[in-house]
Amino acid sequence: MMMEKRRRMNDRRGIAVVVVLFFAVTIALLMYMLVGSNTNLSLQNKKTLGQLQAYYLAQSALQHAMLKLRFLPKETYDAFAAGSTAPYPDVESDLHPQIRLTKPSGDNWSLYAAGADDQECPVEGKYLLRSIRLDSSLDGMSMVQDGYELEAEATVKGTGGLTHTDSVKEQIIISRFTGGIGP
Amino acid sequence: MTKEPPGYRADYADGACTAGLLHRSGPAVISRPSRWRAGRGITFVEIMIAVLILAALLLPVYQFMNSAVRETERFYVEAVAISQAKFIMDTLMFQIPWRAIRAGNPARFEDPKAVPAVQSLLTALMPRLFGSGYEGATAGSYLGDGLLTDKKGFLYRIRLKCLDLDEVEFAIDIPGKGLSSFMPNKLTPKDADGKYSVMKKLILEIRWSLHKGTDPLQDPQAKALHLVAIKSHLDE
Repeated sequence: MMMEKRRRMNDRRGIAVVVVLFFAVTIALLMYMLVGSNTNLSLQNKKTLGQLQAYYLAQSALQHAMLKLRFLPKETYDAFAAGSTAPYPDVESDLHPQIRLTKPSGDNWSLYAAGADDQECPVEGKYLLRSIRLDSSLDGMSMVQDGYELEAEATVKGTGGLTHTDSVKEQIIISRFTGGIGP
Repeated sequence: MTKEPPGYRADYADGACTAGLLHRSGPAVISRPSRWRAGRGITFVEIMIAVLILAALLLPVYQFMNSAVRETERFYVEAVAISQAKFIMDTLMFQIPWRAIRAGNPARFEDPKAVPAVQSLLTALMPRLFGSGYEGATAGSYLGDGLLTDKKGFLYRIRLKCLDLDEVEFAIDIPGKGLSSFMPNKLTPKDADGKYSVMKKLILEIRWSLHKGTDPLQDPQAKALHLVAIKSHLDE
């Protein structure tokens, strides 16, 4: 009887190690999950900001191309009619000194700092018009309209060595002689 | 065979010793019988030691969780700033007419044509975009500058810089005719500011402090984000 009881006691003694190990593993898991979730949040914010910046640059490229369509509707149609596939070689931010997006050397660049240079830009990246295609032409009695499909792309260098890319595509209708842009 | 009670020891029975005391040839030695054998509970001192050990284990966990809460708040403030930046940029790129965004640091918002619908739009949008402090020098004129407070009491400084891009060339490549380039002055009349500008560079900065109620301009540890876009003159 005594031997049996002692054996049971000895069996139960080992459970302390299991309890301690279980406790330690639970705490370690909890800490790991907390560290992981915080790291994810930080990375997610960086990615969101980078993607947003790429999106606005892609929209900028699209507007740049649409502006050219608005100013040069007849010339653009003539270029396509003559067999061109890329009549706008200059819709690219790096080709225009005023548009070029080159980050200043210092990290503390701010609009609140006195004497900020107009050529300096807090974002490094580029945009370009990926493609433009003449989809359709309407040569009616009262109006002459052309339909185009545009695709623009932008790339941004984000923090932590991340690179963000986005592209946007849009179809528009433009009056060939007035330059009016439709939806 | 008689059944021994729990904690029974043979040396108790013959009177050689009393519980907890062993009589030996030398001086008396105080000894505690095994807790398990005697069926005794856990002493208060042992509980206190266990609590201390547990506290020592949980202290770093508490500190870590405390710092995690602060970090979460930091990411919350950053997320609010990003969300506000997106709202401002969407409004600038797709809602406010090109002519109403005027060059400067901070930019000015004023419709040179004084169209009532545009004036109403600006009046309604300004507090949502810049919070407070955006009032311009004259009625109907606003500055791209302000101070916004979120629901938790964090402050955000918002500033927009606008640059007229009046030297951007427009080239077109027509097969058989070659590359033709046009300067903006050949394509558009002067704008309300006397420039041949058809594109504007918009630079947005949002600056925030991680301490509630602190103006980010007074906090050397303040964080900032920037967004840049080029808006083209597509209004008319």
